[in-house]
Order: sequence, then structure tokens, then C-alpha cells
Amino acid sequence: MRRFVVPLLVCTLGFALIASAWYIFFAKTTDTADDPAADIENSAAAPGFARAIDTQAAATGPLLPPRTPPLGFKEYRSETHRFSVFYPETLTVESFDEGAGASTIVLQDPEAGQGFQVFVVPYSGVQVSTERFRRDAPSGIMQDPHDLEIDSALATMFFGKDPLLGETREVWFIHGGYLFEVSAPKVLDEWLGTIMSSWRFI
Amino acid sequence: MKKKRTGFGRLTTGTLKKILAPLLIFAWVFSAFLLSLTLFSLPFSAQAAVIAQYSGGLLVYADGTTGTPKYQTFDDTNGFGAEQSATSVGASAIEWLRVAASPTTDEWIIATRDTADVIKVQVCTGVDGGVSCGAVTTITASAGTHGFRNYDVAYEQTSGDALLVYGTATGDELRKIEWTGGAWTNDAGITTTNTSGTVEWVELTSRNSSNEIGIVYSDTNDDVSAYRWSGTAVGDESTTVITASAPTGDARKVDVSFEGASGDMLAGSEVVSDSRFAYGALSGTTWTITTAAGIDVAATFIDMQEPNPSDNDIGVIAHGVAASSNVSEGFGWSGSAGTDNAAGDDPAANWGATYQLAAVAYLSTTYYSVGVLSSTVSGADDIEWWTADSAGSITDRTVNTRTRGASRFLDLFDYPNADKVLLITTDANSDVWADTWAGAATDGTAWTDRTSGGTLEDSLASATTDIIDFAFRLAPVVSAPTLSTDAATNVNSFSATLNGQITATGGANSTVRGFAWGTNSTLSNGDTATTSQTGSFGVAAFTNQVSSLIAGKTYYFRAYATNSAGTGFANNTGGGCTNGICNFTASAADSSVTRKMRLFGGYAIKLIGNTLKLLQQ
Repeated sequence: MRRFVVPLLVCTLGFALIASAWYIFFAKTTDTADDPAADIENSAAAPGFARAIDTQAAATGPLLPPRTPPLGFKEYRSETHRFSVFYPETLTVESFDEGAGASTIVLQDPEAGQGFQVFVVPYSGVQVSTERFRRDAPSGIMQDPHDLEIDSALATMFFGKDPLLGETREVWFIHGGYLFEVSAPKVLDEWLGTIMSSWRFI
Repeated sequence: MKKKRTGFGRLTTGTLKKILAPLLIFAWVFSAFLLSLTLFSLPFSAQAAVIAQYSGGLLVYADGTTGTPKYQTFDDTNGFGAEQSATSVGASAIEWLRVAASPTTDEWIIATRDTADVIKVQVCTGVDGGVSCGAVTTITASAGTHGFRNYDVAYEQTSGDALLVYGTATGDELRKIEWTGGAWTNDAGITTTNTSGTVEWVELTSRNSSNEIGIVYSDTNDDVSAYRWSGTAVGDESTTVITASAPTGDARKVDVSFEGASGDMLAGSEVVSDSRFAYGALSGTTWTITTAAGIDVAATFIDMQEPNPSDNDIGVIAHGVAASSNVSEGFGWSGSAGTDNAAGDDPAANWGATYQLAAVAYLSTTYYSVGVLSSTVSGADDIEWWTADSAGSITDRTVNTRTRGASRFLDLFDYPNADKVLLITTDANSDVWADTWAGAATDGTAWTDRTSGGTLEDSLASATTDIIDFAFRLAPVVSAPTLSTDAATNVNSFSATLNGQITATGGANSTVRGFAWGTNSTLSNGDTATTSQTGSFGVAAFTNQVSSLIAGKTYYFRAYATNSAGTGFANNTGGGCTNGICNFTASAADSSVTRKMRLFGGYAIKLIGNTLKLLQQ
């Protein structure tokens, strides 16, 4: 009888150890997946989009101080969404509260035909989901996607199409619990590139 | 045949018991040992009781340890604490000692003068009852060979800065130095136009609720003069000497006080030649300097009570020098001139000649002042005393007998916010005693022996000079604020309002308040952030909005606030909070929000070449 009991005890103990290790490991790694919102926003990542470099961790540290823009530029600074960008001083700035924490910031000079908008929406995923892409870009067009870095975030830039603007340059990235969608007419691609190079998270 | 057991087979129940029982006993004994260690270590920290504001204080003296001031903390409930050492002032014996308490912060200044004629100061702080004294600063290394107490120190009662005035060996040199911002600074001479001798005695008294300090001094020519410190400068020098024939003994021969209501200053001494009370009264900037028939003895020592908080009466006590006519005189200054009270202690002959054997203190609104003296009428070790009423009339009180050595020095200290006085007495055996008397009591009520029949100290360095002093704590006792954390409100997927409140200031407003918050339930790892508001915060609720939340994520937060004593954290349990940590879960992301293209809204867009043309619609 004892011949069976000893191996049985050893096996049981070993199994318990393996089970514990499995539980600890997977309990940690599936922490995010337990989040219902994360389920929606991560389960079907849209093809072509970069996976965020930083995790979804909300930025909680002290804000960086305001920056001094170069001549002819001003600083747009959002302490809520924790970013700063320099824009030509001829642009006017208007901010729209879209509800549920989302905002649209429009910087434009219609006379000069220059402008871009930043749409910011709380987002718990680490990659833009197909659902999110289709909702915000109903045309579903994503041409020539490329990854690039916007400050410390990995972004995806691509050409899209909007019913009002026509062909657009899109730069989408996730940072600090938000999805940022920067849009401008395609012809302003180079102009927008200069502006986005000044983007900083604060 | 019995099988030999191997491996697990050995572990029968009996065997297990044999192994486990000693192990359990060992664990139990070890735990008990650890517990006892913990318990025995508690008394050391339990001794650390904060010196209470107004009813606690610091007794400082010099004993047989040459050059090292000793101190005992005092608490009206528990009496005096164990003797402890302040910072040594050197190898020379201490001859004179003064202690002053800051009105604003937990700070005490001990000023000494030693047999090498060096005046030194040290600043002590009392944290959790353990007083810690800092480095010694030498004010002057040549205070003069006369050996009198030619220095004094007092705090400004509003700012918490202090002033030390002292004389030096140089003829006609009176100086001052200021304690401000944690440093001794602005050491400078004071112009003396009334005197020319070497400064022998200096007395300072702080005016209530003011930065003014009265200054009176005498010199080797027995001239007495006075000033008023305004809080920034020494000024209002008396227009002439208050007397040119002050007593010559080494007991305190000058004193200064303030009328509590008017703020007028009174500086006084005695005129040896005709046994009168010489005084200078400073009203506004006008001096009245004269003599009054207030003292009908050839006095050596004079004491004026500390300023009455709300009345102009100032009790005065003096006693003489010669053994045959060494009588004591008490009288009241009632806003004008001294009144000689025949019912006072005129016939009471004191024991010693040049000892400080009398003192007077402000008491209450019933008895404006109480005077104590050592008298031959009763016994040299007894407490003979009187009280003065609001009219300045003095009534002798029943002598309280004591069994001690003959008194050699005594001083009175009034409780700052109670009708009560503390009497410190030294005797011919170099013992130190303490008694208290509550002003609400009626005549005949015994003074309470605060030494429980024993001595506070039995080897005082000298029983006859002022090497013992006491100061009540005036500064509020500050502890870290107390807080509670309340449930978060306005929670959505991206932001929430954190709520908390300071429920008790701890004695001082907080300068910072806020929340620690993050996703870790203990708020202890790297994902914890803090919000902070700066200002002056009392008991009040406060909020902070946090944003950039992750939808669906649970956040934890705890209120905190910081005052001069430290940081207090909320510690409430209930309502979803544990030990001050509450939590909330950010709402799930609202997927209904979609992007709207607002760029160039209201314009028709045309692309001409590589240029956009916008036409307002």
C-alpha cells in the first residue's frame, strides 16, 4: 500500500507546484485580457497598425513645463491628454468636447488652406482594433501604412479618405490610455510632418 | 519479524509527535522571547511624551557636572522627568543660566555664563519629549570679571525670533544679538548715553502678543538705564538714568515688565540711599522717571511679575540685604505709581543677605499676583506668601510648612493659560524643590509639593546664584494632520474626482494636501502617483480630479496632508475603504464616441494643383 502512497504524494505535490506556477504566470499575463474594454479593443487588431510601445499605463507623473516654440510658432498644450505640439502662429485653435473623454482639437488657417485636427479618445487597447478603425475611418481605406515614432510612442501613418477632406494623411498612435488620430489633407503631408516632429508627451 | 522502517515509513503519528512537539515548544518559546523583546523596548519610546503647551516646560540647571547644563521636562500631570544633559559649554563651571521658550515653535534657548566669563547659547528642540540641544555658540568670551549676570535672552512673542542682550568687559559696552531664521545674527553694540560703567546686570521681558522686548540694565557705577526693542531695533532709551544708586549686591537689582492692557513698559530698581522704588515708565515714546515710596527697606533684590495679559497691574516684590533689616516688601503697580501696602510683608525678615529669596508672578483675574518669599518669621524652608487683588492690595496667606534645607534661591513661574504658579526653590543642601499653587484655591489651601517628598536634584552647582531656570512651553504641540479618504465621485472611463478631508490639523495647518493614487492596492509600487495642492489648509474637505484613466481599471487612492510635524495619511475603514485606501473602477470605454472630421468645417474644399482652396459655404 505504502508503495503507492509515496509516489502518489510526490505526484500530487508536483502537480500542485506546476498548477501554482501556471496560475501565477497566466494570472499575470491575462490581467489585461480580463478587462472587458480591453477585450473589445484588443481582440481584433486592425492589420497595419503598430502595437503601442508604451503599455496602456496612464500618465500620472508631474507634468513637464511649457516649452518655448521657435519663431513663428506657438505651443499647443493639453494637460488633460498630456501632449504638446508647436503649430504655425497663423492657425487658429478650437477644441471640441466629444463626450466620454474624447476631444477634437482643430488647428487651421482656412485662408491659407492649412490645418489639421487631433482626435483623442480614451483607449485601453495596445493596438488599434478593426472595429475602432472602421468606426473612425468609415471608408476603411488605409494606404501605404508605415510605422514611425512620435516622441515615445510608436505610430502608424497612412493615407486615408474622408468624405469631406478627400484624401488624407493620417497619423494614429496610442499613448497614456488614449488613442490619438491626427488628420490633414494629403497635400499637407510634408507640412504636417514638420509639425508632428515637434510633438511631445508631457 | 519486525520490519525495519525506512523513509516515510518512519513517520508514524508517534514519531511525528516526538519531532513536532519540541519544535512547537521551541517556536512558542521563541515567539514569547520576541514578544518580550518588543514589550520591554516599549517603555523607552513610551517615555517620549511631548512637552505640553502651557502646562509643560523645561527646568534647566547646573549640577556637579562642570560645564554641562542639565534639564528635566515638566508636565503638570506627571511632574518632572528624568535628568538629561544639554550640550556641554566647556570646562568652566556655569555661574548663571537662563532658559527661554519659543512662542511659535518647539524650541528653547539655554544661555549660560561661566567662571571664565564666557557667555554661550545653545538652541534645543523637543521632539517627542526627548529634548535635543544643538551646538554651542559663544556670544562673548570676555563678559567681564565682575561675575554678575550681565546678559538675558527673550523671545519676541509674535515672530518667534529672539533677542539676547549682554555686556562685555569693555567699559560702557552693551550689545545685542538676534536669533532669527535659525541663526544668531546682527551682533551689534547699543548706544548708551546714560551710563559709563561696565554692564553688570541685564534683564529682558517680552511683551505679550507683540515683538517688543523690555531691556533694563545696570553697571558698575550702579546706574540703571532701559530701552525697548521694537522687534527690529533697540530704541526708546530712557531719557536719563532710572537711578544712579542701585543696590550693589549680586542678586537681581533691576527688572522690567509691561502693562498688559496699555502696553506701557515699566523698568524698576531700588534707590539704596533712601530706600525708595525707582522706576521709569515708558508710555508711547514718553518716559516718566521718578522714585516712589514703595519700598521702605534697603532692598537688594527686585522682581516684577510677567505682564498680566489684560490688565495694567504689575506685582512687585523686593527684599533687603542686611541681616538685621533684611525685610521683604511687596506692592502693586496699578498703571501709575507703586502702592506701599502696610499689610504686605514689611515685617518679614528674610534669611540670606544677597540671595534671591522672593519672587512674584501673575496669577489670575481674581488674585492679580502671588508673591513668595523665604522668611525668618515662619521657617527658612517654608513657603511664606501673599496675593494681590485687582486693586493691588496685598493679603498675607497662611504659611505652608516644608521640611527642607533653608532656602537659598526661589523663583515663580506662572502657567500661561491657567490660574496657577510653579515655585522652584533651592536650599542650603544644594537640593531643588518644586511646588504649585492654583489661584482658584482659597487661603489655607496647601501648595502642592511636586517633588513627592524627594528632591529634583541634590547637587546643584550653587544654591545661591541663578543657575536654575524654568520656562513653560508656549508653542503649540504640533502633530501630523488626521485625514479620511472618501469615496470617489464623477467616475467615468477617463477621469474621476478623488475626495478626502483633513479631520484634525494636528495643531498647525497643512501646507500640502492631496492623494496618492494608482493601480496597486497598497499604493506602494511604481505605478503610484500623487496629486498635491499647496497652501494653508485647516480642517476641510478637498478634492482632486485625476484623468488619463484606463477604462475598466480599478484605481486605489488615499488622502494625505503635510504640516510642520510631518505627513498624515487617512486611516479610515468602512464605506469601501480600508485603512484610508479607497478604490473605484473607471467605467468601461464608451465605444459610441467616434471621430468627427471637424477640420475645415463649413468650407468647400478644392484642390488646385498642390494647393487647397477653401470656400466658405
